[in-house]
Amino acid sequence: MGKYILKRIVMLIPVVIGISFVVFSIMSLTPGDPAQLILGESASKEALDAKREELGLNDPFIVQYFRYVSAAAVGDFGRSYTTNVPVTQEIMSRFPNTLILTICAVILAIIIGIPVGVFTAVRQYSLWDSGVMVLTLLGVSMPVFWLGLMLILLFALNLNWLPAVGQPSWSINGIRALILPTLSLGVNTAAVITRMTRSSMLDVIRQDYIRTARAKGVSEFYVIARHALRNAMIPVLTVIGIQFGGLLGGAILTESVFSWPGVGRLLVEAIRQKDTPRVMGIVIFLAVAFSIVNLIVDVLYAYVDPRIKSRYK
Amino acid sequence: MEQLHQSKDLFHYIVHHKNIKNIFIGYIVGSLSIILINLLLGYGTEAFIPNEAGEFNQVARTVHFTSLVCQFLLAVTFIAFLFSHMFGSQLNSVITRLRKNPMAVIGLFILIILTIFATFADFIANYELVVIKQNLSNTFATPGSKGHIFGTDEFGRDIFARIVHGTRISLTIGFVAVSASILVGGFLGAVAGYYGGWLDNVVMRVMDVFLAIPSILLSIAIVSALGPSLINLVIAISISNMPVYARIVRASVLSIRGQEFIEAAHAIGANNIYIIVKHILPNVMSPIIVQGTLGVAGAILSIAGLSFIGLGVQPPTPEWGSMLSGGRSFIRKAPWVTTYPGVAIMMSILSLNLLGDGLRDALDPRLK
Repeated sequence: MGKYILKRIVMLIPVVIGISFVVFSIMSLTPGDPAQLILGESASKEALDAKREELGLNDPFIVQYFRYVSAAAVGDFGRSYTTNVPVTQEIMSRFPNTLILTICAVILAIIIGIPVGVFTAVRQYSLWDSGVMVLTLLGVSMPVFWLGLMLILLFALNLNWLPAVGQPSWSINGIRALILPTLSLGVNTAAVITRMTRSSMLDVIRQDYIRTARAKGVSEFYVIARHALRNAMIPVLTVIGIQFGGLLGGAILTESVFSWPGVGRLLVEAIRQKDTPRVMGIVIFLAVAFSIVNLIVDVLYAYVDPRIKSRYK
Repeated sequence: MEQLHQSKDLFHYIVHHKNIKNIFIGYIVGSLSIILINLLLGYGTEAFIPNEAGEFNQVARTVHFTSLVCQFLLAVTFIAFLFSHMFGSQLNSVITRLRKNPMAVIGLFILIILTIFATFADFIANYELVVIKQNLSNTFATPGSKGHIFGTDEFGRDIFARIVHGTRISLTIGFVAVSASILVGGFLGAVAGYYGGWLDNVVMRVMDVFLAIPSILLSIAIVSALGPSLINLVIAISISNMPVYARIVRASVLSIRGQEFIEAAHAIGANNIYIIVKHILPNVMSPIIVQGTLGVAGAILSIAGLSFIGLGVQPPTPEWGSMLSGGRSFIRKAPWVTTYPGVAIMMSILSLNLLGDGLRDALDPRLK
């Protein structure tokens, strides 16, 4: 297992370098002069030239890229143009909030998605099945930010049950503030997981070994829970991994709806202020985080399904 | 093939060869219907006549372009349905199978209604006078009042009219962006899969890097670097969708490449281009059509999301995401400003998802 994980980590390195190169190239297309942005409109020509030299903007593109990437490799994404705070520090102070939100959403989606998916698969073509399928279709088609606004409208403004904005913390208020963003972010994923669990269960339930288990007299609950579900979980796990990336993207929108102090909102602010180092740092950070999540899912996948691991021996 | 080399037989060949004849008929019917709709709507004047300064009216151009794309979509859909028997048995049987799937029919029905709304948006409301013109004496009219079935927004503009014109923007960007990514990504994937070797490795590793960045994040990075505009939005969404199509096409090409009929084609002296166009592309079409339909849904969602955070279509252009974001501050006072554009987004994505799922079943005869 250790060898497999190591191999996957080594495979991650070129992808991470590729990500940094792609994002750096894209961001270098940004029009405007960074020196002007930092020093303001009234800066003298000499000051601008000095700043440009200081930032290394006169060097060739490749030199700039290598300088950036070698600093980024040790966790230095440069300083923000607007606040002059190191970007890494800003990301690190905000990222836990995004992570909490994303993990809660995934947990919510799993708690809803897997049991409902199993239930609808067991009761295929029943009224429950059709009803849930219509709901999941709506859930898949709903934009997260719109759902967030509708939840605010219903639960925060009309019913006044939950706060519309808030900080995450280990208090009642912090947890209450987490509920609406989690719901808004998780519903979509819950729908996807439900659909995947259902179709995967339907595949598995028709297998011969399930019939064998039933013929042996194993109770129906045990057949579903032990024999069918474990094998049905493999594609579901992949979908959860893929969804995680979508959630990191969705979190950007959810965070701006709920004024959630996460990386996503930081990114939106940075874009408004044309703060290139921040935008670049956050995009690279989130993309690498997404790759690491995929790596973890792949490792889990190998843990659940030993056949996969053997391919890497 | 031999007939083609004898030029005097060319006409004979075109008239009698079934596929070429059908493409011809389709082309003529398609062009005629687009021209007819254009004449009916009186298009093509404002957008192409420069003013005194020699500048073109950008608003008119956007409206003209988006409306042309929607007309095209509508024409293609109708031609596919009305003349499916002319295009050979394959399209016909796909449509027959699609009709048997109630969910797909619902999806297609919603989609056609949306496309009709988008195409005839100018009959529903004038762009300059209703959709973007502010009327501050009539702000926040409640839904149903004085001819505003969805009410009016913070500038007194009719929300229904804006949603209808927004359909045009969303469908166009979604369709154009996905088509572009299919063309570029599909080409890269086909080349990578067909030639293999180092070319395959280089192309697919680059695609892997693009896939490693969540698509919405990649779009955000591209638009924030290039600046928010309609064209940049299309570029961003095409680039972030491209790797998916490259992968699909490559996988299909790899599975087809080794088969005997390709070997047979090689043996009778067909060149690579001929084999790719004639044998490989038709086999790749099914997964591409399915993924493309679902991809348009994803693109519409991305457009709305990017516009929502201010990176997409800029106001006053009616776009669903920016309408939502505009109505946010007034959500307590006027919830309808945010509610209806969201319903429009949901309906369009729902319809495309249903149609995509239906097409997946209809295009795969093994599931019959």
